[in-house]
Amino acid sequence: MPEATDSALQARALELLATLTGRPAAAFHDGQWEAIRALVADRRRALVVQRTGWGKSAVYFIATKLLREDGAGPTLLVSPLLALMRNQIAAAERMGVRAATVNSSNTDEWDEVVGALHGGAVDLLLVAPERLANRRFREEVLAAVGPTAGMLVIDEAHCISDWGHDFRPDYRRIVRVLDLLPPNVPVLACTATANDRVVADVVAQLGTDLLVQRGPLGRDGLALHVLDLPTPAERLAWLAAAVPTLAGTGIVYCLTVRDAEVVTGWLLANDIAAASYTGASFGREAIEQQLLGNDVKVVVATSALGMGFDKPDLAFVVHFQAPGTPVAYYQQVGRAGRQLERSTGVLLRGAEDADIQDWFIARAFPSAEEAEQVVDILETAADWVKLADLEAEVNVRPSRIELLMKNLEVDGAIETDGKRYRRTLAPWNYDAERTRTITALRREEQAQMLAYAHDVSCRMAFLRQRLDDPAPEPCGICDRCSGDSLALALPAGLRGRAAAFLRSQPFVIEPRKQWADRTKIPEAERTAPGRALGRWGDGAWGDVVRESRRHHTPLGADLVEAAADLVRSWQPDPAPTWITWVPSARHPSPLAEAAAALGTALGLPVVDALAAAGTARPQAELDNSAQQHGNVAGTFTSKVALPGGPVLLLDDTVGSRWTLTEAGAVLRRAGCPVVVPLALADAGP
Amino acid sequence: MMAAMHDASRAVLALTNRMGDVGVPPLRSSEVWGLLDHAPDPGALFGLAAADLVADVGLDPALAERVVRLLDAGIALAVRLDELHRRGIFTLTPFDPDYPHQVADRLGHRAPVVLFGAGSASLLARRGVAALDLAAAAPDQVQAMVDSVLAGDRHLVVGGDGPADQAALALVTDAGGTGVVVLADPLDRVLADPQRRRSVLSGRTCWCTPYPPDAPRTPEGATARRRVIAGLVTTTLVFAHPHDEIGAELIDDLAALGAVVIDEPDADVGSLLRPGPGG
Repeated sequence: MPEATDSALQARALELLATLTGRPAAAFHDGQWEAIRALVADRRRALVVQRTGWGKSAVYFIATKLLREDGAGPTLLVSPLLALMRNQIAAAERMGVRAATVNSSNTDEWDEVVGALHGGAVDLLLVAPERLANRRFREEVLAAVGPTAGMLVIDEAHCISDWGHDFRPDYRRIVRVLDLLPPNVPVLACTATANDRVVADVVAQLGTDLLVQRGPLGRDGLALHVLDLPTPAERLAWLAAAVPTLAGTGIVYCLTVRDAEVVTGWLLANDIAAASYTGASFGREAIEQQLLGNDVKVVVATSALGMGFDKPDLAFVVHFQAPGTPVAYYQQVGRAGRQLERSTGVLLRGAEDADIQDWFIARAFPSAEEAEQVVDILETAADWVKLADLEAEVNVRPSRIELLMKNLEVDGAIETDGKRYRRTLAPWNYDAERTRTITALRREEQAQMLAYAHDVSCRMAFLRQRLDDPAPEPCGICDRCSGDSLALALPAGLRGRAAAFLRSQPFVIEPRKQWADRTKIPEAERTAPGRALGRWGDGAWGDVVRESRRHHTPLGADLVEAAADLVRSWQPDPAPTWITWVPSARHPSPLAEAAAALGTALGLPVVDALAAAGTARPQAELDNSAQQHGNVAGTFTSKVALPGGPVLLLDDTVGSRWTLTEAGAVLRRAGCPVVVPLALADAGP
Repeated sequence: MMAAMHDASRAVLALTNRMGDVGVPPLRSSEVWGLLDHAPDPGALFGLAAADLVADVGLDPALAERVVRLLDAGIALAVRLDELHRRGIFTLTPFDPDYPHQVADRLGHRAPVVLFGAGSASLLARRGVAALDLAAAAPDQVQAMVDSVLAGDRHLVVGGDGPADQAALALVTDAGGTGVVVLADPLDRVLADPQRRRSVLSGRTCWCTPYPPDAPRTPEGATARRRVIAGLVTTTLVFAHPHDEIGAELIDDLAALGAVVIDEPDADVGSLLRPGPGG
């Protein structure tokens, strides 16, 4: 580009930056102008690895505006999370970039977006990566993006890489689109969390003529701490005591939805303004706004509150459990204090962390056997097959089969019309080497996370080393550098109250409404909503149940009394007037004895009402609905005339809910007006 | 999974793109071949202005404008191509290793610059025997042709998804041979059939077409398809009786490409197919 034109472009870019920031004298951060120039003047590809807050979005907003002013088509921005999109749209509009989004929740607005695209009224179209596989998006929306080349922006580009801590199958679609993209389409890939290996992988995907901008990743003023608090009760107690003493507002990260909900409940019970934010939460946008407006002290979140959430004055991030990798931890804890002089990141290490991480690692990829079984079935059928029919033939858990189908679809082994699946015409082999390599990497990262807690001299320097930061200086403010500790002398009784709170948390057993073949279970055969006392392996009642099962020993008076307390506090409506239990034909069950004791405690008669014919296999060995239901269907019979009135149906564990559903249906068909399930432990996924 | 794509292939696909409206008509194959005479590496044309194409490449201004618009299709075309490739539909241009260059050598500017297909693309470059209008062949002639194909380790090329073509193809593949089907009908519709999908996945067949997978059949397309078939192999049998559809002009055309016209039901097909050089 001639020098004069280059100067004019830079001057215009500075004008736009001033508009974006609201500061007339705003200047570019190191590397921002170079990236914009590469994209706009040279139509090159660029990879920007810079810490959050550096201004990656300013690069693509300004580049988009300049390209549009030069007659280019709209920019397509691919980003993984809606939370990110909401923030981005607001920021873009402040600068005069006309942004629109199409996603699964606004399909009724797509026609409007298409009209705006045709009318040239959209500068930036934001989509999630899975949108690229959607036929309507391709044929209607993308076609309307226009005949002239725009720019492609891949936000959170570490998701492209197999080596990234947050690899997502849908991002593999982007890799293939990149390969098919003409060289004159500028591409910007950006991320705040990529080590050398991830950068090299992304560079390989983007091509050799690539501008790479990589800056230091340290976070000044973020004081990192680690506390070993093995039990959930200890950690809850610490939160109740510590959160009110922390300045400002923050996030508490949990590994599971259930934990996020329990922690939220505990904080609320301790008069701390808290809200839960998980993939299962309704009104997530409102919760984000509450946090952004400091209307809550703390949001308790899973990783659903992730990439792109931007609150510059977030004062603290606490991890109730440890994430699986140092990079994931850096990304989450790094949300704190982006524009504060001092902020705090606390990792509470629990005894169950490794088990939960193991669970995630083991389930990250479908097994070769599972994948090959599905592909074989579809290949033999050659025609479209419904998911329910596949489930009947493959022993894979529903949550797993969704991941399996997504992986196979992205791999090009299968295709879907939205309801059914079919083998594609492409050759396919299970990539066992890739699975082995990535699983080994995840194990290595798990070990690094352990090292972060115990073996480091400076915690921030350790995290920066994991990101291959070229200058990981000691931070001087973490607990290792400063010697400060956030360990607290907890008020008397707080830990006990936390333990009691944990034990009191109900696990609701939702009644099944459909049989495994998706036909409706008649209202007259359904159970009522039930409760489970604890969770399998929860360190409390769940462990008692597990030991009893393993050794066929009595369940114990304490457990029965806790179950009775649960029923008393729960007060199912209508109230049960008698009790029975789920018999086992496999081995003698201590349930009959427990049911008798429960009857005594609750003052209810106990009736030996059901007979079991025995199942082909233990339910716990079966992974999906079709197989689990098939295993217990028809195994129960009613063996006596039933008393009138609602019944409390006791079982030791509940997993798939098919045993309780089948036994409940038998009781209902025998004339029982209401069946209320009660399990001693929830062993579900 | 498809191998990484060459810029020149991307350019040919963009120039002939019928999968989305970019505001100008796509180039016909003959126009692309003409362009390649001026610009042997079309990948180098990305990013050039129309004025550059006129001044440096020697294109006429109207064509230069079309080329620029077509090459700018960018992201939308890449996503459409990815969708095809993910479904197992390949695209071949003269810049891809599996493109059957013998077709271009024999048909010149009438050769398609893009082939869409599924199955074993490598079969397109193998020695084979093509049969056109098999519905007019006598059963003994079909059997003799199949025997000859199998004995000579050649593959059978047929021109459609009709019962006669498919029966002959099945005779070959059931006996362990291989075959190519060159379609004028929409690839998507033809390959919706489970049996044909199994045939593709078996690795014994290749189904291809010069037209986008969802393009409807046209009479012109059917004629051009016959030329492609005759261009693929040096031995083509045209069972031209009755020749109400095929037409005398095309028969002459095919004969010029070396096709043998068989218009007698008792003609000895076996003797015509004794393996010869290049066959």
